[in-house]
Amino acid sequence: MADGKILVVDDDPDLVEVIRLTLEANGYQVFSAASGTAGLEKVKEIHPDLIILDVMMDYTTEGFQVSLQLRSPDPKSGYAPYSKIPILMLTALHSTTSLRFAPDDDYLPVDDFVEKPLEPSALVQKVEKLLGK
Amino acid sequence: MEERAALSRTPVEEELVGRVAWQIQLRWAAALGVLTATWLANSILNIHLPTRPLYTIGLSILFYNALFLLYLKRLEREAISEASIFDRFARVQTSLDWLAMILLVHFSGGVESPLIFYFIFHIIIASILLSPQACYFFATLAALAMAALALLEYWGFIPHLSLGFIPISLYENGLYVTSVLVFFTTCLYISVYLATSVTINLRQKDEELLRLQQELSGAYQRIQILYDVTKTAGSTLDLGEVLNLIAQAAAEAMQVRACTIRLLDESGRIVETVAAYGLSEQYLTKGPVDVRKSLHTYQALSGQPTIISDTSQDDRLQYPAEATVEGISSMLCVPLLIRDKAEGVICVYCAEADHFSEDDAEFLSALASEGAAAIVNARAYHALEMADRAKSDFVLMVTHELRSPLSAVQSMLRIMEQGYVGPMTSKQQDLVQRSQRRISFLLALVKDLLELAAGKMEQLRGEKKEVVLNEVIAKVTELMRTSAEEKGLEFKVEITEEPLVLVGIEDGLERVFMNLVSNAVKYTPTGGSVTVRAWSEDDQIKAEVSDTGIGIPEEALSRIFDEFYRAKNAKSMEMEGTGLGLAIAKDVVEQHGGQISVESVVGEGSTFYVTLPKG
Repeated sequence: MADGKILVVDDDPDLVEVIRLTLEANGYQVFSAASGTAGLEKVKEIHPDLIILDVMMDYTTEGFQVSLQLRSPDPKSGYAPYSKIPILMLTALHSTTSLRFAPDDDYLPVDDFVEKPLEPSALVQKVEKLLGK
Repeated sequence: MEERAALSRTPVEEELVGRVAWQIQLRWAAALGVLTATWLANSILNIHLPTRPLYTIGLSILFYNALFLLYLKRLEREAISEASIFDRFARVQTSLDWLAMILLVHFSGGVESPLIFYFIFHIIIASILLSPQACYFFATLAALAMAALALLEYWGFIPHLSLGFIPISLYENGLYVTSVLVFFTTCLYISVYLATSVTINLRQKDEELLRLQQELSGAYQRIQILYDVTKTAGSTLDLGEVLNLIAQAAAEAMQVRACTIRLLDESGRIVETVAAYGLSEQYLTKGPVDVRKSLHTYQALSGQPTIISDTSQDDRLQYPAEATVEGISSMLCVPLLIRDKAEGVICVYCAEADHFSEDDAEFLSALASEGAAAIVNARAYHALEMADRAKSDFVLMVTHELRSPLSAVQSMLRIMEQGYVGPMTSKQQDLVQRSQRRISFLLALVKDLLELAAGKMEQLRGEKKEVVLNEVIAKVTELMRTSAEEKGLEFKVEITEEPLVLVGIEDGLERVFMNLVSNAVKYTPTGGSVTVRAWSEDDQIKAEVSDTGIGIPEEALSRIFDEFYRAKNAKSMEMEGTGLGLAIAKDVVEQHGGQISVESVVGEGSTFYVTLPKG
């Protein structure tokens, strides 16, 4: 066991459950948080190996805000302790938000995207890739 | 009276200038005449004349005429056209001519001089140049001067220079001198009377002609402006722009200071200014116009054009003091009738009192009806826009709410199907798969709805750039070729080599052809064919997607592009279809200023035509 600690940040408990079942079946340890703020707290608490973030929670770009905060250096210390944790973004494609998905460090500091509804095998494959397996 | 531009001369002034110049021309001849006649009389006819004074007078006339000519040239160079200056100029000329004339008469025999008849010419010239009063004045002056000359000579105060035509005794006969003077004087007055009656009559005709000409050009200008306003009102949906144009057109066409358009507010008591031209900010913000206090507004709202001839004398005004400060002396207000109900007023303001006539009221009413039509149009358009936006907002909200639970359900079904939560019986497996199919359809529907709603919202905001349609169609047909061939269809693509370039939204255009081609493949049974063609025709791009599929029933043809509409035969053949694909295609094509249409025969096939403007 304990192939890796994965934090799922999503306000939809059913989707969290699907991800948990899928990843636990593949030997990962899954934690969850239901909001961006709770997610940031959880990161500090458990130091996950991978974070799965939903784009839209309370507001349409909450997921991006969370990932930006994780990636930007702390204003006091000038050090970003969580910037190396890979982030997998959960998105609903064809969404009407005007954001374009591009793996651009300046704009969207995430490592990959996975589309909803979830395809378990695709999710597992992307997780494995990001964890370097 | 019309207010006119300061610099251009009126025809009457133009004529005055011309006549002054003509008078100067005549004077050259007169001066030369004096010199020639003196020489002739003296040298040829041997009449004993005081030649020196006569030559001096002739030369003096030449001299002062030269000065007049220089002065006239200066006036013309400086484009001075004030009637008063020319009038004064004419009087100075006449005065000098009179003086020269009297001296000539004196030196050529006084009462016996034949030159006294020449005063008649002077009278005629004066009647042409000057007012009748001035003519009578100069006639009197001439009569008095002649009388003075005769008496002074008679009494011997100045010498009488006899020409020898009449005996001295006759000249010393007071009765004779008096009768010459009386006939001379009456002759002058009768000439003035005759000449001025003719010129007065002519001047009246001139003025009448001028007035008619101005009226005619004013009427023509009004018709032109009315036409321009109608054209603009019909071609723009920006109500503010149309109303401001009408306000400006009204003021300009009627050659008055200002115009306002006011509409009743919801309370029905205050009229709010919605467009204004030519008024100061201060006047426009003087305070609300209350229908119960502004009686002329009330009268106009009750359906009658209302004229205020003098704002300082009219107690119907709510803000008389402000009108005075603004320099408004008269006003005309007509009702703005919307569906026969007065919903506002359009008013014009003039700096001059007593300016407006019934004709003006009629013209302004015509403009008011243009304004009313623009208001009706704009309101209808606004209502449509709001309804469309409300619909799109609703669809967007609903689809967001629909998509999240559907995604969650679909995700859960997938992990069940893939055995993450334990093994299932084959019947369970079958039911889970069927549920997944139904959910997939719902998700596709939601996706299309979202695109449609978003498309409508983005209608004019989409980022447009140059698109090469050949490439777009090639991309789509490459994607669709596999599924067409897997289904056993003949798939033909005929795209012209010539680049089909337009300015548009590439994703949208791709979606159009994707929808058309995938429909063609979907609704054509094995063994059939699908053909995609694109070519250029004049300044248009033409494309067609034809198939030998099931076709579209006639009764469905008119509704095929409606949202959610699916023909019956399409439903029975393909379960998965949302009825939005063609609605989206139509939406996108129309956004690009193009057209989409269809021809079809059931059982034989369908052809969709797309026309797009080149750009």
